[in-house]
Amino acid sequence: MSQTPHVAVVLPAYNERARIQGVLDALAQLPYTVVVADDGSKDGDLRSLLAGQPNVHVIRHRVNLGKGAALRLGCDAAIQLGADILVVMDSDGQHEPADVPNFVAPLANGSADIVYGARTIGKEMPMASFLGNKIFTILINLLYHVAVNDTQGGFRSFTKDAYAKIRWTTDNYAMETEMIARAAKHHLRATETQIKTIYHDKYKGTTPLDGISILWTIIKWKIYG
Amino acid sequence: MVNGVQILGIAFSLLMLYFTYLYFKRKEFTKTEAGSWCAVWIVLILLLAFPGWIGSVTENFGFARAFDVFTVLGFIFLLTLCFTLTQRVHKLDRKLRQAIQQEALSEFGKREQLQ
Repeated sequence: MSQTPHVAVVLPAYNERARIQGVLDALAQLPYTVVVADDGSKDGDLRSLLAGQPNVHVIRHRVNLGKGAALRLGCDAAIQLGADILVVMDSDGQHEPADVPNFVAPLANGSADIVYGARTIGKEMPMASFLGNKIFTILINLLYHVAVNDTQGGFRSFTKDAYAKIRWTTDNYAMETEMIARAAKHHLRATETQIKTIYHDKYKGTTPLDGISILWTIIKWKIYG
Repeated sequence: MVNGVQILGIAFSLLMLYFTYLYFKRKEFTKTEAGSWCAVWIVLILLLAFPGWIGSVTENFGFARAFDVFTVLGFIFLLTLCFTLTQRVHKLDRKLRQAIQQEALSEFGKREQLQ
């Protein structure tokens, strides 16, 4: 890795007009490029809402396709901008921008290819998320022989080369799982960094139906590789 | 003697024949599609009006009654239709997603003057 790698922080966003500016203001304190992937937001086109902000690039889906699709789009755009390191995080304030350097350091010094953010899976989580996370984490670690403590967290980072290997095809929330499956398949060097558990809206995010999709992804990737 | 099921079935088929004609006139069905569906409804009307015509099918394939033949054929028809529609919808979904993502990347590249 070059001495000063180009780091891009990718934020998938769907109807986050109210919250995203706070995240961007915090990221502005860091010397990184920001790519916002607007997944067909209905509360305003982020391309015009965020126009003129230094170091912030916005790419937009015409219609909503899902978090996985938006994140993939944002990462592809970041690669087009010349990023060497990609940090992916949520745009709704559930992840602390101040933690981003912790995701960059292991990749910049070459000690890892992918970094997983690990939340403390406990009381702060809504019950459905807590149960789902516990079950899927046990299952994924068992089936893929990995040691990831938070398999459903969206705060992660990876190098450009690692992205080429883990570039997911899933368009929905199951992409978190596909990413781990692909990383395990390619024997990427993984490490973890602790992050806070923040939930603003316990009704947002994954639902039990997404849980079925995640479970299918876990099984599918184990069988079909 | 004509029973209630036959009357219901014939009435339903006539209604569907009318809708097939309507969609054809609105150019929502092609000639082939309209022709195929008309054939389905007409065959259904004839078999319902003259159930004795499928007497040999009933005997040779071990069905107890003509109604059972209709039920089984109906299931097979619906399953085939479901299968075909699922495949077409998935194909359309994939093409649409690809098109949306390619459009987004292309517009981004032009705006960022990367192309």
